[in-house]
Amino acid sequence: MRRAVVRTLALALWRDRGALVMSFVLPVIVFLVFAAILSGATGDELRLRVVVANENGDPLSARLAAALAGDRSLRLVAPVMPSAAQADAAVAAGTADAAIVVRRGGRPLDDLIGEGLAPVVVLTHPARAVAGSIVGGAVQRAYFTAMPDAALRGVVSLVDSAIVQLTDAQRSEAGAALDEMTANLGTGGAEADPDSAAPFAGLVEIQPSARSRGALDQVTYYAAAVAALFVLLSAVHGASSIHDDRAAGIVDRVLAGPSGMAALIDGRALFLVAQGMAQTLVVFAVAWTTYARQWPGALWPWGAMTVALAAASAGLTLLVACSCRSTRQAQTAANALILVAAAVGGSMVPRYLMPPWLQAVGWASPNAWVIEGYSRALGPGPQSLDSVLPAIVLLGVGAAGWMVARRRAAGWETE
Amino acid sequence: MEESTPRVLVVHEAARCIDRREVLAGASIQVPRAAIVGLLGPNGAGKTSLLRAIAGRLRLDAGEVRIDGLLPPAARRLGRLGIVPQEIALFAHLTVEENLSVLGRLAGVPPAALRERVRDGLEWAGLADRSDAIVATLSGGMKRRVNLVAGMLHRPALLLLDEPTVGVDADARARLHELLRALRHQGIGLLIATHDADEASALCDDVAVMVNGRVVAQAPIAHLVRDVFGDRREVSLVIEPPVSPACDALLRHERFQPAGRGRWVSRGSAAHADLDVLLRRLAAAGGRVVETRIAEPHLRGAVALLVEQHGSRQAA
Repeated sequence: MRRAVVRTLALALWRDRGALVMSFVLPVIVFLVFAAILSGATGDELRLRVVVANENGDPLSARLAAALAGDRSLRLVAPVMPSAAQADAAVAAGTADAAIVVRRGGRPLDDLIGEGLAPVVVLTHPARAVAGSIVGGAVQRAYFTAMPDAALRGVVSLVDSAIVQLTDAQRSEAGAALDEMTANLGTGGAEADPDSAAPFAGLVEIQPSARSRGALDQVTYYAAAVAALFVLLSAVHGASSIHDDRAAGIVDRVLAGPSGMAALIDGRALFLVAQGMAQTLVVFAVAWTTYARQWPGALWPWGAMTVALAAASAGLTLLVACSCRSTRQAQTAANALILVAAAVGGSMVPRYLMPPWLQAVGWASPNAWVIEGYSRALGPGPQSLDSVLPAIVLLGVGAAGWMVARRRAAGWETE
Repeated sequence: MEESTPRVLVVHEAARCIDRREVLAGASIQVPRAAIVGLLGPNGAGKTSLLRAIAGRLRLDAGEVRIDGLLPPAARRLGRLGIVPQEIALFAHLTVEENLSVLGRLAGVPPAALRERVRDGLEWAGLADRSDAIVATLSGGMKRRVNLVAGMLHRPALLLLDEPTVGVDADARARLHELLRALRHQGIGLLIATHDADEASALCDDVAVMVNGRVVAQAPIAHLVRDVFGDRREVSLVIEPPVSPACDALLRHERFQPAGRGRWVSRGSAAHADLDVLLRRLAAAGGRVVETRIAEPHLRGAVALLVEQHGSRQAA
């Protein structure tokens, strides 16, 4: 008897292509996407997009800039720039994940102990804050790899000025001083002097990019990412219910009157747009009130993006629904597509942590356009055509999906 | 059917071939105003295809459909056609009133008239006290009534019904029949596709019989039965098993068909004298007849005979 039950379930699975795809194909796709992301994030595949600005004209700065330009863990997206302002603008615009600025007025690169500011500053976007730490590490690696002479010069200077000349007697004295430093760091009883305790930490300073202050932070980034995912998932139910209406005879009844399939599709589209906007409002309201504790200054760009997100979700899910033959088929296909789109589009893991090829593939996902759109809509500075480009793309996708869905549904009117 | 009676539906020589199979093979049917026409036939005869063609859902290769003088698209646009599907074509999670409001609007009832039409429909169907009930919680008979009201809110000239009483008990069926007769009284023409000849006998003015994509007969029930049977009767014999090969051959030769549980039925016996001869020959062949029944001609038998005569692709 148990074998009969097993056989029944096995046959049901074997004959249900949607269930087979969900069971065996989708997990593999999602695994491959995450494997690409995670292996990239911990290996050589992770290549953040950076710009380098060298405000100093001295040879050491030029050597560091050249070393950074040649670092395989970084992707230089523009030639070395002369000013920090240009690099800052690139970060704010999202064309670079971070900017490395060899700043004017900083300490010399071969004397990291002296007075003054850190010679290198990494500018980050609030939505990509973790990129600052990663790039900061890359700067230190490039510095020690490409400029060991400068680094050792700093060490000698440190020993000469901060400790003592090295004789036998002095070696033990220096050891005692270092032991004391270790003890202070270990117990935390005394506050460590950053210059004497960790001299090379003074190489790099991480700051938010000036132009991107107030821009989409990570909480807001995930509000956009989560909204994109769940607006799409929720729209699947409403869109695919067209097949329930067909099976129940409601479509037959409606088609006997003047309405036609267009009324059923248009009504659904309007509802799904309203539902998507309401969902997005709830997600952002919670994000802003709980974490950001402030609302953005101008709400209309956010509103335009929210309409675009809801319209794209409605259009795309209606398109999938009207391309399928049953509710079950539509839901299976749509859910599979949405999960893959979420994975490659940045709804699960930030896209800048993905390898370049996956970032390129991600532009085929509406989630990527949604996140990019909110990033631009909530960014500082005046809005331009470029700011609303993602919204225009999403509205176009939604309208196209809606129109094709209408045409496919019109085919059901007459056999 | 009087020629002078105005027709709300005229289908002339409707033909459609799908995947090399003629689902409609020149079907013609008419429905007068203020009349109930039953559409009978075995599974696969083309009843549903004909209803879909009338509703404009099935494109015709040849022939024509006119509803109140209009082609189907115009009739749909002007609200002359109503449909009551076999399924409970309602939103199960909405109340009765909400369903009727939504479906009435989709059927083209003007917003200003909608509330009144819904209220009238609820009272007409005896559902006024259940207007706030969720449809999913109603009994089968009530759902069928709501299903019916939803099809006539826009006051069509022609109402197509597909098995409108399937799955309901006798009381609910009688109530539905009352409502359908009331619609006829209002001047609506009704075309009812059904498998149930007894229901058609009780309800319809005319019946049309479809076999293999054609309407092979359409007439008032009494005329059709008389035309099909003539002076013949339906004879059924119950023979104690086992039936010998000789008996089996003799029964089949006399156009009897097995009807299960030892019963053999023939709708072609002309006279009692023939029956006496047959009984003697069966006895001689070793058959023991335990029951003999001669039935007056009836619609179910007439339909079965027509199906036999026109060679249905699928058994009735």
